[in-house]
Amino acid sequence: MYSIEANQLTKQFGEFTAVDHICFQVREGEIFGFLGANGAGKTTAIKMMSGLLLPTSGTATIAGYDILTQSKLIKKSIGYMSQKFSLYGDLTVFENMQLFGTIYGIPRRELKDRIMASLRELDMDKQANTLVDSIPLGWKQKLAFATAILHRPKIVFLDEPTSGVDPIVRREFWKLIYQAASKGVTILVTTHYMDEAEYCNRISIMAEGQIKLIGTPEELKQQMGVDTINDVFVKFVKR
Amino acid sequence: MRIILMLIKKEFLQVFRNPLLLSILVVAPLVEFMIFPFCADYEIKVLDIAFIDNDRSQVSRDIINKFNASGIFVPHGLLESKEKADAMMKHDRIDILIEFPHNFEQDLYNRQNTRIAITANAINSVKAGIGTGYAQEIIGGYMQDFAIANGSGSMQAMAAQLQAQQAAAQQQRKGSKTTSIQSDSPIMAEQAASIDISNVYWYNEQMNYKNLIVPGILVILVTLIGCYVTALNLVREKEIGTIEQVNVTPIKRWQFLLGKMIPFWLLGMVEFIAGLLIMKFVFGISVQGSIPLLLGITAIYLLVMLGLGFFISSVSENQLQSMFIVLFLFIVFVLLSGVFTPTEGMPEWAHKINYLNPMSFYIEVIKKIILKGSEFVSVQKETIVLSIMAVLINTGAILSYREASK
Amino acid sequence: MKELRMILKKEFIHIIRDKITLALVLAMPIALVLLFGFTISTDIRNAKISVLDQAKDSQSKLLVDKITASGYFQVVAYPENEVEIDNDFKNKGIKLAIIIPPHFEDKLSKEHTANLQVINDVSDLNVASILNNYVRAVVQGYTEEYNQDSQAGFDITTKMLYNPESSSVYMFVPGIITLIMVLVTALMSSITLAREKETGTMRMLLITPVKKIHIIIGKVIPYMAISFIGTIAILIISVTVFKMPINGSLLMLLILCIIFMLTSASFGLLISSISQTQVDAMMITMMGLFLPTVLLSGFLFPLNSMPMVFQVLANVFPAKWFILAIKDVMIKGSGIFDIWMYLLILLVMAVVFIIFSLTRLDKRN
Repeated sequence: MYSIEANQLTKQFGEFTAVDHICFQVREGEIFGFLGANGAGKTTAIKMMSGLLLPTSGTATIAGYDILTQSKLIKKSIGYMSQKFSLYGDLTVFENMQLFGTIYGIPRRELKDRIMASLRELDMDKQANTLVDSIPLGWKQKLAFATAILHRPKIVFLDEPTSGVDPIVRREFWKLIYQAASKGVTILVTTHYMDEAEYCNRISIMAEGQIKLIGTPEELKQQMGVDTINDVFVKFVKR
Repeated sequence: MRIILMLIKKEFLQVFRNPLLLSILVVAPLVEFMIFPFCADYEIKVLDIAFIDNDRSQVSRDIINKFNASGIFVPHGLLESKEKADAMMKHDRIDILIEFPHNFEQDLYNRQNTRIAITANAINSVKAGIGTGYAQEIIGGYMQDFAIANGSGSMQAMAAQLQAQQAAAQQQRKGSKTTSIQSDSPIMAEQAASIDISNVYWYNEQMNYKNLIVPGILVILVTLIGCYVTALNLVREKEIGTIEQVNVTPIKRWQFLLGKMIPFWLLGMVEFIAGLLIMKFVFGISVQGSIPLLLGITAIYLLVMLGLGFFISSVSENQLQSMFIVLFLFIVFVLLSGVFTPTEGMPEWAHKINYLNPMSFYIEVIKKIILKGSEFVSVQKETIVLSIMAVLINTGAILSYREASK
Repeated sequence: MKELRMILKKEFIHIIRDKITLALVLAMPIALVLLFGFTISTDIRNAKISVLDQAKDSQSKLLVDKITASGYFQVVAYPENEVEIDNDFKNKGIKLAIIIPPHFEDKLSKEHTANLQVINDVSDLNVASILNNYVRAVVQGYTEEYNQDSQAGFDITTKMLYNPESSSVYMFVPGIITLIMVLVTALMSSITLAREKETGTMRMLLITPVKKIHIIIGKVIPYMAISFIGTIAILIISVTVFKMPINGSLLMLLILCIIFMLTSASFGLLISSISQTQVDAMMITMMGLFLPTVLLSGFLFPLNSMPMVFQVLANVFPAKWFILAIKDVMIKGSGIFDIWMYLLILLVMAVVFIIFSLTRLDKRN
C-alpha cells in the first residue's frame, strides 16, 4: 500500500494552471523529494495534499484516505511544516508545542514528557520558556519540525524546510528527517537545493506544474548521464 | 473541552504579552469612557451675543441687561454698525445679534407696531435654534413684565401672546418650569382663557445630560471591543500565516472559533463591569434595574458582536479590509441606533434597516434597565432578537470560516 | 524623479490589486453622506404618546383631536392612572404622556385657566425637548381657537444667517468630508507603512538608494488621490441631493482640501513612525486621531461648551482648523484673505509631522 497516491491532481487559479495533472506514489517510510524552481507548483501540490487547498480536479489519497471526502481523517495522520514559519512568535517554545499537542489530542500526562524529550533531542531544552520570536531562524525551523511530528503522524509534509538556514543547520535538519524516517514516517519534502535531493530516497523534478522526471537520484543521474542532481537539473532546463 | 481551554490560554497569553495591545484593549477604552462624556455634550452652554441699539432708551438697556444677566449669553458689546456686526458674525465671534429699532421705547408706550430683529449664525442650526429660542424667551418675559407694570391690558395680551409664540420655538433644557400660554380676544380681553403646561421629567429628574450620554458611550465601547478586536484577530493570523498551522490540524471549526471567542467575551464582560463601576463612581449614575439582567443581556450582545467580528475576519483577506468593513458597519450602527441622534425623525427605510442593527436593540435595553429600571418583560423582545442574532451570526461565522481555500 | 515615479507606480498597483479595499474606500464616503443626510433629522413625526384624560368632556376630546391631527403625535394608549403611564413608557415605547385635569371644560370657561401636565421621558433629551415644543405649539393653537380670535401686534423677526432653512446639512457635510479625509489618508498611509515594516519590505526599500523623502511621498500621494476622489463625490452629492451651497470659489475649496489631506497624511506618517505592526497603527489612529476628530473638531459637539482642557486640546488636531476653514469657504464664501491663518496652521502642522517622521525613519537605520 502507498502512503501517498496522487491521481491527476490539478489546481488552476483562473487561467493559470499551478499544478497540472500530477500522478505519483510514495511508499511508507520513504523520503520523497519535490524539486523545482520557485513557482513550479511544489507548494500548491503540498497544500492540496495536506488539506489546505481544494484541488480543481483529480484527487489524492493520503494514508489511505481521500483528500476530497476524508480530510478530517487525513489531518489526524499527517504533520505539516509551512514554507513560511507559522508558529506563534509571541508564545514560548513550550507553549507552542503544548498548544498543538493538545489540539492533536495527545493525553495531558504524556504531553509534557513528550515535549521535553523532543526538545532534548533538538538540544533546545534550555529554550523551552523562550519566546519563539527571539530564537534564531535555524532553531525555529527545527522547532517547527519537532512540533509537526510531536503527535507521531504517519506522514509529514515539509515545505522548503531548510530555505534560508545555514549549511550546518541544514545538515542537522536532515539528520532529524532521517531519524523520523527510520521510525517509519513517510516524508514528502520540497526543496530548491539540489544537493539536498541526494538525501532523498526518490525525487521528482517539477516545472510548469508538471512532474517532468521521477525516480531515485541514481536513476535520474544515469538517465541524464551526469554526476550530480544539480547537473541533472541544469541539463533538464537546457533541454 | 481541553482543546478549547488550551486555545483560551493561548489567546490570553498573546494579549498579556503585548503591552500595547493590552493597553488598547483594556486601559484606553476605560480612560476614554471617563473623558468622552465631558466632550460628547450637545448642551449649548455658551452663546456669544452682540447688540445694535438704535434706540438707546431705558427699555432697550433693560433688555440688554436681562441678556447679560442670563448666564448663557456672553455679551460682546454694543456695535455701531451693521457692517461691524456682519464682520463679527463672519469670523464666528458672535452667534446671535439683537437689533433694536429707532423709537423702540416710544412706539411701545404709544402702542404702535415695533419690532426687534434677531439674527443668528445658523451654520450650526441647532445652536441657532436654541439661541433664538432663548433670546425670544428673554425678550418675551421682559415684555410681559413691562405690560403688567404699565397696566395695559392689550399690551399684556400682546406680551403674553408673544411669549407663548416664542415658547413654542424654545428648546427647554433645564429643570421643570411652567410657561403660560395665553391668547386674547380684543373684545373680551378680561376673560381670555389660558392653559398652563407643567412639564414633569421622568427617569432623569435632574435633566442631567450625562445620564443620557454615558450609557450610550458604554454601548459604543462594548461594541468596539467586541467587534473591532476580533475582526482583526483572525485575519491577522491569516496574514502572518499562523492560521495555516492550525488549519492543518484536525481541530473542528467551532472549537477554534469558540477558543478565540471566549477570551474576548470575558474581556468584554470585565470591561463592561468596569464601565458600570466608572458610571457609578465617576458620573454618579447607578443602575435602576436588575444588574444580573443587564449583565445577561450584555453577554448576549457581546456574542453578537464577537460573531460579527469573526464573520468579517473570515471573509476578508487582510487587516485593512477587515478594518474598513468594521468601521463602516460601526458608523452605520451608531448613526441608526440613536445613540447620538434621535431616531424618531428617520425615514421609514432607515427604521427598517434598524431591525438588522443589533446596537439599536441593545441601546434600548441599556436605557430601559439603567435609567428606567425596567423588568425583564420590558426588554423581552430585545433579548429575543439579540439571541436570534447571536445564533445566526455565529453560525454564519463558523460556516464562512474555511480551513481549505478554493 | 524616476525613482519617485517607480514608487508611485508600486503603490498604485498595491491599491488596485486589493479591489475590495478600494471599493470600500470609494463607497464609504458616498454611503456615509447619504446616511447622514437622510437619518439625521430633528423633525419628528408620529411620536407615540399616551393621554390620561381625567375630564372626558367635549373640550378635552377636542384637545386630543387637535393633538392627533397635528401629525406630530400618535396616541397609542389612554391610561387610567399614572402607574399605567409608567407601563406605557416602559412597554409601549411612548415618548410623552399628557394628563388632562378633571373638569377641564368647566375650568376653562369659569376659571379661564387650566393646567395641563406633560410627562417627558428624558432618557432621550433631544426628543423630549423637541416634542415639548410641539405640544406647546398644538396647545397654543387650541387656546387661540378656543378664544376664537387672536391679535397681532408686537413681534420679533428672526433671521437665520447663512442657513435660512436651518438645515443640518451645513453642519454634517464639512464634518463628513473631514472624517473621510482623516480615515482614508491618515489611516491608510499609516497602515500601509506599518505593513511594510511588519513584512520587512520597508527594510528592503531603505537599503536601496531611493531617497527617504521619495518613499514617503510615494506612500502619501496615492491615498491623497483616493480621498480626493471621495471628497469630490461627497461634494457632488451634497450639492445635488442635499442642496448644500458652495458660496466660495471652488478652486479655493479644492486647495483647502488638498492642504488638509497633506496634513492628515503626515499625521498618518507620524503614527506609523511610532508603531511596529498594522494593529498598532490602526488602534493608535482610531484612539488617537479618529475619535478626537469626531469629538473635538466641533462638528458634532459644540466646542465652547466643553471643559477648558478639551478646548485647548482641540487646537492640536488639524480637523478643528479644517472645519473652520471649509465652513467659511463653502457657506460664507470666504476667500484666501479670510482663511489664510487656518491654511498656515495646517501647513505648519504638516511640516512638523513630516520632519518628525523623517527623523524617526533615520534613527532606525
